[in-house]
Amino acid sequence: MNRAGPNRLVSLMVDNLIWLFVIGAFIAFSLLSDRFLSPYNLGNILLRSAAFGMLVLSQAYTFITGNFDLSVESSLGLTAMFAALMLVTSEAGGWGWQLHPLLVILLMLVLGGLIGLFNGVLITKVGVNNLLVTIAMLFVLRGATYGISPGTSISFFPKEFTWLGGGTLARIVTDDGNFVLSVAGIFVILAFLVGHIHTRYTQFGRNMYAVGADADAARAAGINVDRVVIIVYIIAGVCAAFAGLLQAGRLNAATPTMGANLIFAVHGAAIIGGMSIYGGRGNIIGAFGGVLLWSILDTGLNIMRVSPFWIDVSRGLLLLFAVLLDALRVRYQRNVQMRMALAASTIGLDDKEHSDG
Amino acid sequence: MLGIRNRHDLLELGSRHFIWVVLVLTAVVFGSTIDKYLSVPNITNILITGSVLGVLVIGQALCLMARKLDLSAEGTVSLVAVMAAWLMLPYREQDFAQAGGLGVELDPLIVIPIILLLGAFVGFLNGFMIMKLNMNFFIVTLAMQLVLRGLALAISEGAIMPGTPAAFNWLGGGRVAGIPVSVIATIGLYLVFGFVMSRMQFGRKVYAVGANEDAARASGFSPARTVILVYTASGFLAAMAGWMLLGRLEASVPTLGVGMTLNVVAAAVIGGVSLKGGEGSIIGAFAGVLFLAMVNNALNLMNVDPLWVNAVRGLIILVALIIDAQKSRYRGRAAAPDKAKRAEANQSAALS
Repeated sequence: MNRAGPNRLVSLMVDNLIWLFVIGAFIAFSLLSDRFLSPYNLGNILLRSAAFGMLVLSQAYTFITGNFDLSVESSLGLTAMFAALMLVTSEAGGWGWQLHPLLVILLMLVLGGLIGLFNGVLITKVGVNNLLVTIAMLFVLRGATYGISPGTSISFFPKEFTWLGGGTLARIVTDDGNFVLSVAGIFVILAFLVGHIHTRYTQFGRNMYAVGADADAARAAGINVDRVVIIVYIIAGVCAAFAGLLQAGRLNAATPTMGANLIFAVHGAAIIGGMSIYGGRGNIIGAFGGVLLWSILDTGLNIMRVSPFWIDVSRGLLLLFAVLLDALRVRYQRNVQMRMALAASTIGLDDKEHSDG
Repeated sequence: MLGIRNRHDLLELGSRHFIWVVLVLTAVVFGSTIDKYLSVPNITNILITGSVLGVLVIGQALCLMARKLDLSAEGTVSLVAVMAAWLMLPYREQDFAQAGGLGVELDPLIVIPIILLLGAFVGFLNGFMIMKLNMNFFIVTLAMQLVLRGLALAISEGAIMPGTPAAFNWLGGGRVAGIPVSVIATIGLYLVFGFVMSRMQFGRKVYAVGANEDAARASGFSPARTVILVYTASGFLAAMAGWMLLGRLEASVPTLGVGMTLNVVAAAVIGGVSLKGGEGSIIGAFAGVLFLAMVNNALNLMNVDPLWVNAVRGLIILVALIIDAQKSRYRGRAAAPDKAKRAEANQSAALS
């Protein structure tokens, strides 16, 4: 952070480009649509992307260690369906156990963790390629979701179960409508904060970055690489289970297709937030910026009544624009570093001194 | 003849061509448990269903070898199919989610070059943005996928456009002397690209760029040019796949190709193409395609509950991967361990 030399303000902006995108998108949509700034919509932005945010958090963890977990979108679906089956009566399509919601939540988190453990062990101990394992698991888990589901969606859960995903903490009444402070929105912010502290300020977090930067060097430095990677996959699985809990809670329903085809959007948000799929780069707060940007684009385009057929096109174009700016940022930083390196080098000066003397 | 002198060489040979061993084992297992699995009509069927996947895998394998990815190929498949139907079919009001085309009713012989050029241009655009504008390949191709899929939906307004002309359908549905044209075309493409990648300078450049882009630049050729060509080829092949798929279905569906990328990448990697670039062969990727096509076909024939098909397919792939990992472990012990170190060093040098 101690950046001497060229324009510090510019450097600060360039380092936090994702937040400029977020603010820029926010201002742009506020100007383009008068309903974007309505209290109701502002409260909605985070709520709608809460589950998406948890998936991004899971990928942020795996990305830091240079891994990925494509199966999280299916874990979301499976854990939600699993929970729904344990909650409702057999007339409503469930298994008729009608377990206590808290026990169900605990069980689905355990299931998510076990899926992560399985992925992690296959990748580290058996040595299977991480992308392929998680693609295969994506199929297995999605298939299992369809298999255990009654073939339709299951809805109407107890209040305790839907509180986290659909509950409200406070409702502020204004003239333009209500601002709803959702439990899910606060939960996601807290989760990212905890994630940031965990990866930034703990020994384990530093080990994660070391593994991502160079697994061999980390191993040589005495870090138990396998253990770090397995724990990261367990965390990712638990995050995916939380995503399932949030999604099922918000919709008050579980469908077999929940979360399907989300994974690349999740990766997109993480990467635009500064993470790298090759590991060792980026931070969790940046990834949160990626989530915000994605959900602002989503709600903004929806609220402007862009035809659903054109939403994907505009989302893609905006994404392209954001990466273009990001590429320019990298070029700028490289130039700055080059200039600093040249300024610091004494080779030329030394020669001159010698020839003078 | 193969240079086998002792048991070690035999094991080495077996592990290098391991995917073929897996293929034979798969054929034996399914052939002995499923009636008529190895009959000519069923083998033809496997090849036909594998051909679209196979064409896409070539493009993806090229990108992977250059240490890139092309997530946009499935979007190209959608857009190209919708464009072709839209340009060829007569105008009709949309009813029951079915519609006609724009009404210009172009001849298939004009439409085919248009869509192939469109695919190549999309690929060129990807490559240009990635190499000349230094944009992240993952997001560029992801965004491109969204744009292309969105355009396909916008043009078709979500409707199915059935009834493409016979001349257009020839590639996907026609037969020459009883052999499906799509199979011949796919095998032809594999031969061409296999030759290019193993025997021509371009192929060596792709591997070099994938292994270490900076070193490739230092050795005096332009990685940008190579990668842009790779993406252009990938886009062109995706357009071929779209043409083939539309010809087989004889109707354009705007959601064509959705979720295909995962299968495509899986086939390439199962066939030995590494995600970390600079490794693998086109012929290996072909084996990966055959493996996936055989598994899919077997699951259909075994009457697996459709709700469980995905789960079973995933499990079979998983088992194959675990076996494959044992092989790599064996090779890792047998081959010089410093080779892996060197690859790792190259990689971190390329990244920093």
